[in-house]
Amino acid sequence: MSLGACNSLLDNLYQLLDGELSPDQVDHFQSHLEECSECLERLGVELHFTLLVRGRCSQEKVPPQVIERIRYALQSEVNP
Amino acid sequence: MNLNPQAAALQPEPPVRPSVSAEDLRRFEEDALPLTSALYGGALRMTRNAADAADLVQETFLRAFRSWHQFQAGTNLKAWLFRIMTNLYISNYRAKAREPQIISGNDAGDFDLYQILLDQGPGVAPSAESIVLNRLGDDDIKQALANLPEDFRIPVLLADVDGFSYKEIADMLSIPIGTVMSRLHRGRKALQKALWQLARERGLVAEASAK
Repeated sequence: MSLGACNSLLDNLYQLLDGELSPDQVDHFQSHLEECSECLERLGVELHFTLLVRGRCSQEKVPPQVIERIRYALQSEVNP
Repeated sequence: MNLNPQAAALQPEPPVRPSVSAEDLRRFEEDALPLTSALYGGALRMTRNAADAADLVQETFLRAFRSWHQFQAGTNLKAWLFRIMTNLYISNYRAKAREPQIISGNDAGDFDLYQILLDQGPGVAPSAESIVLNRLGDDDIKQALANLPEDFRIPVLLADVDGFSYKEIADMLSIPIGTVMSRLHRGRKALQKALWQLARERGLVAEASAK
């Protein structure tokens, strides 16, 4: 596998992971990933890490009194 | 309670519309209030404090309601609300937030989790090996995120937890997309480094192979 192709993918790894590349670019890197197990592994590590962070910072429940406060504050914006 | 109308009034903002009807409010609540959970979660992570988070979300909804006529229907309402909230956070809360220490003074931008996992030993794929970080607790991961330098922390939260695009984050923080990418890169590497070090301290990783 050419080093250039790997370097190109590594430079764009986060953009690929974050869905920030064009369909053409994704296709291009997809072909490389099918041939290069190291790049695929690297992508896997980053993907796993991102999912770990997202999964562990789960949505916190809003306390009901916070919603009450917001509605009350908004209500006072409405002219009588 | 620290909702501060005086401080809020000092912020540049569009004037309150002269006449706001109950119908305006009903429509706003119908569209915006379902996003309260997403906003509150984001506020809690930004401020790291439940009281400040509640104030920040309330202030965000007030601002949003006053600017509601500026919202373009069909665009991303959650991103619009987060933009208001991020701006409020930066101007009102960031100053008083404790400044986290810069991670051991050096840049973790070249931290290579893949290589470190590879060095752990032959025969195990790094992506499987990285599961070792799964054994850290939720609080460990939240704390490591909270300790990131502020310039990295907010982009990482907005991208990795709240799920916004580079463009949306660039708009929220008023920085170029290239800066978002570089802060996200360095923030993620710093977080990986911090969690890997924590895993070592917890004895989840063999000390001998630690770099």
